[in-house]
Amino acid sequence: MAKARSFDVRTLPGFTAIAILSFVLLYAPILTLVVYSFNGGNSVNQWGGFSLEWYVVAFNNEAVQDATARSLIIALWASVISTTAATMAALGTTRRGRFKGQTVIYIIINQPLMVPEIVTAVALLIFFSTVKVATGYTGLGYLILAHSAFCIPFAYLPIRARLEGMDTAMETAAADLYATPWQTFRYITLPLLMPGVIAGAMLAFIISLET
Amino acid sequence: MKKQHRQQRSKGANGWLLSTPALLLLVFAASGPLLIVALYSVLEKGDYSGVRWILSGDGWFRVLFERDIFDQTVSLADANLSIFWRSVKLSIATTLVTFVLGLPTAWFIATRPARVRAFWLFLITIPFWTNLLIRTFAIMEVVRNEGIVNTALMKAGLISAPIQIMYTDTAVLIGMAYVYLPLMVLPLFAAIDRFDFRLIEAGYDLYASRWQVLRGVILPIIKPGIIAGFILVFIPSLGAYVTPRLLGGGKNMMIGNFIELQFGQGQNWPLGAALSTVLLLIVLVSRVIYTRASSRDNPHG
Repeated sequence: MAKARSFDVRTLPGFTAIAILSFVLLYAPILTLVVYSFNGGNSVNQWGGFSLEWYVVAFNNEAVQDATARSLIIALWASVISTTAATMAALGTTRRGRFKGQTVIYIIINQPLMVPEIVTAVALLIFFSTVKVATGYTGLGYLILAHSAFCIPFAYLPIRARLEGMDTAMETAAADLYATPWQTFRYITLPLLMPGVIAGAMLAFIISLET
Repeated sequence: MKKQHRQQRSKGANGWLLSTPALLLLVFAASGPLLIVALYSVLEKGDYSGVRWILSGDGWFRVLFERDIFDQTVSLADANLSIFWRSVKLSIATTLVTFVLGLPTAWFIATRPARVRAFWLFLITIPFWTNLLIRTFAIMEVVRNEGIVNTALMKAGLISAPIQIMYTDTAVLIGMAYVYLPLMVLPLFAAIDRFDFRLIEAGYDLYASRWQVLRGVILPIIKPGIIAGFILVFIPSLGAYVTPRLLGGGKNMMIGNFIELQFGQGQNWPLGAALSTVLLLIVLVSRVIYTRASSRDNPHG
């Protein structure tokens, strides 16, 4: 009887229970960490009352301040550079049919997604240590460059998805009304593309900030 | 005819032209360094670190073999082999654990009403955007001897001494499964979301049991999503080095830590470069298998 009432083809036995378990497992450790950041004591075993003490300590620490500022600067530059490059590449590789070498472009753009993190780390270490010796320049430039390159696929994918879903009628109309290619891009394509560009830039920013 | 041909060519030229900044950046800061890694793997090891510019196969030789210091006999490098084996074993285990947890989770999200589905999906992606290091530390707080699990079990009187989970393969497995679970759920969700639920009705109408419906109808249809999830979890697991180092300690190394060691204390850059190249090749082969499998199922995608 109960079966006849609640039989739903979409439910599979145990699936909901495991799903709930997954969510609990995903959030429990993070929440614990957040809760204990407000702990007055300095051990995770004892709860020393609610306190913002550790935040004050963190914010007043010069090393933390420097590191945060550096991360933000790099992420800002990297997201601007990678989003610009990715937007151009997306415009170049979509809506013009297939052309020779397109697959090569795709492979190069998606390369950072495919290479394991340790290999990327090692490759950049070798490369930049060689370049540093050769040029004598030591600064944020290398990191910004590396982050920009690494973030390109993350910016490219949402922008391309947006472009592929876009109708070309508006652009054709603009061209019919004697708009130059630049005017068409500036006043038609770019505004329509904006949600994709913003999504791509935010993704790139987050990725850069946490690497 | 001729005009069309020219148009075709200018299309291609424009495509390349517009992609140039992105390609230059990537070739300079991503592909180029990889080639240098490949080059370093065939050079001779420097005295302390770095390399000498002399061609040598020693880096590659040492991936699998070792030479006795005294009598120069060659034997298989057991230590390296056990590290490879542990990496593969742990990565497969991680993939299976995330699949067992991820399939029901993806199914749960895909069968929610449309207006709350985005919310559940969002919940899955939040941990994914949280820093890897933070997530690993969070897991550490859970599994270490003075951590939540052991404290709770001891307070409940179930155990008298803490269970040692930290610095074991189990800890690494728990950590990696935790870190990579969203990567399994997302492609599975994408596949289940497109799934036509009338097919299940048809299955039940034909007297299939729930298990038969799962095995015979659901799993074959969402196979591309399963393969995508497996690859997305397996590849980063194989190359992981932050999680195994923090949770596994210095003894339970995976390939990633072994590579890191060669560039740090090991001071054998050619060996590290050769190991990196091996890892890269494994990843490329799995990518090819993945592309083959997914294009067979979906000739237009």
